[in-house]
Amino acid sequence: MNVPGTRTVTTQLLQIRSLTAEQAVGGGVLALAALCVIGAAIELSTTSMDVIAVPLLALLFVALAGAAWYCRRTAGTLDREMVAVCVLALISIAFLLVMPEWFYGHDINAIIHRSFFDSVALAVVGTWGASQGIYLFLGGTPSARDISRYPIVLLPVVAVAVAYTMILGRVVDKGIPNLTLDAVTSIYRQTTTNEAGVVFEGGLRNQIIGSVLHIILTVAIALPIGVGAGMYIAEYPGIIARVITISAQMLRAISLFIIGSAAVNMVLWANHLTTTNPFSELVRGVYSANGGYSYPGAGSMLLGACFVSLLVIPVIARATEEGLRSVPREIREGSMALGATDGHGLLNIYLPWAFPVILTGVFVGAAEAAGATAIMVFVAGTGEYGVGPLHPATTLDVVIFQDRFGSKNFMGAMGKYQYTAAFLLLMITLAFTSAALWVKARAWRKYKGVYTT
Amino acid sequence: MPGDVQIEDLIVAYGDHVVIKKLSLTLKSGAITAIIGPSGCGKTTLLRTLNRLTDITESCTTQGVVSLDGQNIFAMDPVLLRRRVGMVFQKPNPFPMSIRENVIYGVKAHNTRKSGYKKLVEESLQRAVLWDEVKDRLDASAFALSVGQQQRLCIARALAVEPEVVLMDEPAAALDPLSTAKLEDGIMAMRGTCTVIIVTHDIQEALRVSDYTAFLFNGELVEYGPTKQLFEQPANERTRDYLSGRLITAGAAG
Repeated sequence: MNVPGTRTVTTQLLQIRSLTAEQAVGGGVLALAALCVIGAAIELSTTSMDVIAVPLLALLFVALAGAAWYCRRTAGTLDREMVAVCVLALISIAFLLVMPEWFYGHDINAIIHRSFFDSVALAVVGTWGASQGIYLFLGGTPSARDISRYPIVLLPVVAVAVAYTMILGRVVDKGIPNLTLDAVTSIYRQTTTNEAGVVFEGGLRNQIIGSVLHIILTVAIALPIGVGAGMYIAEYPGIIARVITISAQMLRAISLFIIGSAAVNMVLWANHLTTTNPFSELVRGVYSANGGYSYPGAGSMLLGACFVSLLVIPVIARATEEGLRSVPREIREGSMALGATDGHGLLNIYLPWAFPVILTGVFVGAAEAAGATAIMVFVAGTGEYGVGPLHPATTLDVVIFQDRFGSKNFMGAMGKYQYTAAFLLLMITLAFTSAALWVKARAWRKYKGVYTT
Repeated sequence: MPGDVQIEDLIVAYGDHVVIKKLSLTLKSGAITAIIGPSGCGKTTLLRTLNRLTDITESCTTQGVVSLDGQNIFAMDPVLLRRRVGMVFQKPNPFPMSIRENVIYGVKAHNTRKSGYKKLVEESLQRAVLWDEVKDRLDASAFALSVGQQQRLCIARALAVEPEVVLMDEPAAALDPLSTAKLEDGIMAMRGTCTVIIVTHDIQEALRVSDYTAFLFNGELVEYGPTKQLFEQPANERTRDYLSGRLITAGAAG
């Protein structure tokens, strides 16, 4: 084919870009791999690529095998990683071809199930192949190998980012339109009675106040206990400290619903008490309606905060422990050598030193408290008779999870605010998290560059 | 004067590893004593035994008697002992607070006086030859000082509680020559006010600042005497070898 004196199209292309043959192959592999990844994305969203998944993988395999062969010829050694991608591509092709019918089902959903496996194969082989393409395109040097890892690291991040963006997008998209002044300033209440019955309407005011109050109460309960536990674990190591650590870790593994039902059991116990009993008010919460008569609620804000603080205590304890452990040995010895007692050092140096870390723990715990929906929905009510520590609990969670009430009145009036409540809760959590980051950055500046911790 | 330290048949061990082997030494009160010796010979362990900082290492065991003004330190409350025996560490370790607060930390911890802090701060900083450099910024963070200034601040902090004995664990190890010279001025100013025991790798420093020198080798006291005498006419062959740079093997590991 090559007539002397003329140049093939390939050679011309190579010269225009001044690419080496290796780089050209790499570019080809990269393009094919990119197609595979795009295919995987389309596959997941529309399931229309099922037919071409195998041919696409086969093409990529051929390109990679060619590249491996070429590198073997020029460099003299076989690139193991490239061979590994080739083998993986072959295995994927074989799996997709011989996948038995029972594996993906007989019914109408079969194509969706098949697509799932297609997309996984395309994404994994495509990403790893893209890495090889970049490696070759950059000239096959050791540094090129490092740079070529980038897509492998990036893909999972992008996947998670896309998932989060979709969820957040839904909350913002559906929540913002109902975020009116009325929604945040009015309370859920009975307005009129007509011949059809009672009419309820209202907004989220008490729920917003309730959520913030609930977070503050929870942290107020959890802070002294958590800091105390953390101090004990860090400063008095031993068998008891170990038991506390393990218990705290196990507590975090308990389902929120179990803690929630414990709260409900507490309320059931309190149902034996008369409304004038102080414990009744503490546990159930009391509200006044109909001209000053007091009625018991289904769980007070304080009760909810107590049980949610069970979740927050381990967070704060862990942070305190970490903070105290980060006090440099030199400083501890310096304090001891001056004849200060451990307690004096703890109060005047170690705890201030640990303060930024403890504070971070507090804010992380507060965010956790805000999200402890599963506990609060067990005890929380509609908030139509006010909000406060000894009032029946109400938070934004109940609006998000309103199915639990099955009350037509509440759902009818508040149903439209479901995503608005989720959005507001998100904002509250975001505020706490930002505050944590800001405070931490400020507090750490004090110790910058002196001790490496 | 107080600050009389007597060590009798001291044995210090970490687990099975004996670091100090039956060491006896009587230190001159009010003088500056240097402890020299190769790495791993037990200098720092000896120093940390004197204010019982070795207590915080669980595997550490001690035998023998160390007496401070006739009292056995192992029978004392370690906190009370450390109020009488101050220490300056190898790496400057200022507390994360202002210069003033650093100086009065010990006094506040001892809860012995309620006022007069201002005078105390000035006196202590002057004794550590730091006052002129920091008198205008006493409320600045101690971390803003240079490493050499931080080390002198640590000396001021130790002196503020009027200790009878001050232990120094290679105080100039992290410092440049100029800072070392200023530090040594501070150390020499302490002569006569309290007993100073300084551990050092730098035999020139020992020669410059100390009145007496003890040479330790493999956990044993080889030679102890006035610095001038020990440097000019060492009685022991190993001392002579060490001072002339020939004896460098520590042998502590074996």
